[in-house]
Amino acid sequence: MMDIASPQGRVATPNHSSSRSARWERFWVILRQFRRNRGGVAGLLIVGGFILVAILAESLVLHDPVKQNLAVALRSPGGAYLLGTDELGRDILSRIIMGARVSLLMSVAAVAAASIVGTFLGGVAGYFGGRLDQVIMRTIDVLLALPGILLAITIIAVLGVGLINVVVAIAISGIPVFARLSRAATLTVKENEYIQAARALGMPERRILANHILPNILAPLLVQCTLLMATAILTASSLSFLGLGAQPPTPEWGAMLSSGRTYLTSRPHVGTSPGIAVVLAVLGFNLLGDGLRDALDPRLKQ
Amino acid sequence: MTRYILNRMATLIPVLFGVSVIVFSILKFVPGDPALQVGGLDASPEDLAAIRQQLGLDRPVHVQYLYFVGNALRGDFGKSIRSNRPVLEEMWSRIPNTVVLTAVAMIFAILLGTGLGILAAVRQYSLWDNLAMATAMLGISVPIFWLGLMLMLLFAVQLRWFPTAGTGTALHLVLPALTLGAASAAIIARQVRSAMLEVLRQDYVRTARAKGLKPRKVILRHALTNALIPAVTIIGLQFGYLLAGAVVTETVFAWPGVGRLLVDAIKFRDFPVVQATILWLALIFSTVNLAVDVLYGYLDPRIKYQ
Repeated sequence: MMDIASPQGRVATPNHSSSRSARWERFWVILRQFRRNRGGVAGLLIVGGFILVAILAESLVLHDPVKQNLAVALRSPGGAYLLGTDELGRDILSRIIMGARVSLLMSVAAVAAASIVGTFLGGVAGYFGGRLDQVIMRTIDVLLALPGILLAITIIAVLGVGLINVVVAIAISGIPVFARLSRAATLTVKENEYIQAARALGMPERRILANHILPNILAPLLVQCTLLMATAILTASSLSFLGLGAQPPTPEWGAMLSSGRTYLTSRPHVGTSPGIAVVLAVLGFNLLGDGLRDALDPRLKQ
Repeated sequence: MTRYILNRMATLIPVLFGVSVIVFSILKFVPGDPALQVGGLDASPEDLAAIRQQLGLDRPVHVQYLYFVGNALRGDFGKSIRSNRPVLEEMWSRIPNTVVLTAVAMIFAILLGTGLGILAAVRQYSLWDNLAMATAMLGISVPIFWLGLMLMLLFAVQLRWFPTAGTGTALHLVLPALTLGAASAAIIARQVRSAMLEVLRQDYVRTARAKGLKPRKVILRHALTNALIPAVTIIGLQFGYLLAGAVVTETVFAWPGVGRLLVDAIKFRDFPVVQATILWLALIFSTVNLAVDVLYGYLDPRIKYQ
């Protein structure tokens, strides 16, 4: 189990002191831990597949995902259209494949923005403390006053409907988790003697934060990013379903369900497959996140 | 204890202040002239000036904000642009629907979640455990709107057990409540399982077993009561997520609640309604969280408030 299980292997130790080989050692231990987690490995495979489909989308689609052809509208699955066609005669499979790219781009952008801004704000608040801490954390509290998708909806109400605004909304709603995480970790780390030593040696605050504090919170940050990817995909598709996100003809999974809804009773295939795509993608990230958490933090393992 | 509650209530003030600023700014960010929205395109310049004065748009922004808060505290959010009825009236008629839906979903989530969690913990690593946790994993990964549509397709369209949408009878409530509560049930199940596992390993549980108490009694009376303490926070948080999820569920099932009112209002750019509903939802959520914090201390006397 080695050092990752011991307290000093985690938040408390300066990372730079471990030599390169020790770092590899730790990596292999984590990898072994992770491989034993069947759910985590399944999640990794699903996420890998999802990313691959998103990257290769253009070469995978058999039909134009946006072009309408009313002559073949609402075809049942089979033949030239593996998953059938929608109400405007567009190939559903092609739209799902293109939708993978839309979903991935939206959620990666949102999670990246949320993690960078949130970690920075939390780190600054925890490190400098005082009034700055108060101001930042009270602002974060305001964001937490609206649960889940409601905060995103509120931001959409301010910014207006649209795909980019959805990304901004999801990013802002993701900030609190990261801010709290990095603030708590910073508070723990900053009391250590090596931080005081670095400060006494005249190291600039900026570098202390970046070189000594950030590496120590990377593991929980990574887990949080993975789990937030799942939430981001869910939220983005839900907003598009509500008509507040991606607008036609963008092939977005939630929007596909929204437009196919009218035909759901007579033509169930229109709504079924885009939903399965969302479930798979979200499930993949959730499984991967759980697996990573178990591997990176054995103390949390049940 | 009283002091803690008062302090905790005091933290609500800056939060609600922040939310009110955001909600106020909704109107400020809207492109175009709000007076034009109210007056319509054929309003004369004099009419527009009169509307501006009536809405207080000719005053400085901070004064406008104070007026907004003052009116909001008196329950006056103006009139809905869409229906021309007072916003509060519009919202008031829908609040009971949302409360009923959320409450029933919550009861369902607690019962199913706790049940699955206990089952999984008591038979750790068994088929039941794996099945329960796989279901829970699926539960947190399924989008509400899709689950709703699929349940509707199966139980309303195919089997005809329940009506597809709308309100009226208790049967109308079943599918929306199941849809809304599923994710929360999954989260509660995961939490109860890990809390139960923690408690079941403790010495006092072993003692209880050793002295020959019935397993059912050990699990329900001795273990569960302690395991539920950490679960209470998670369950309390679920209320907020259910309120948020209600926005989507109400849209799927054409349920005339506050959530659907909000979504429709955003689409129709009916900003007074948007402001009022968001403020109401934030107020309810913050209050419930406060209640959960207090309840937590009540349930676990080991917790000391500072």
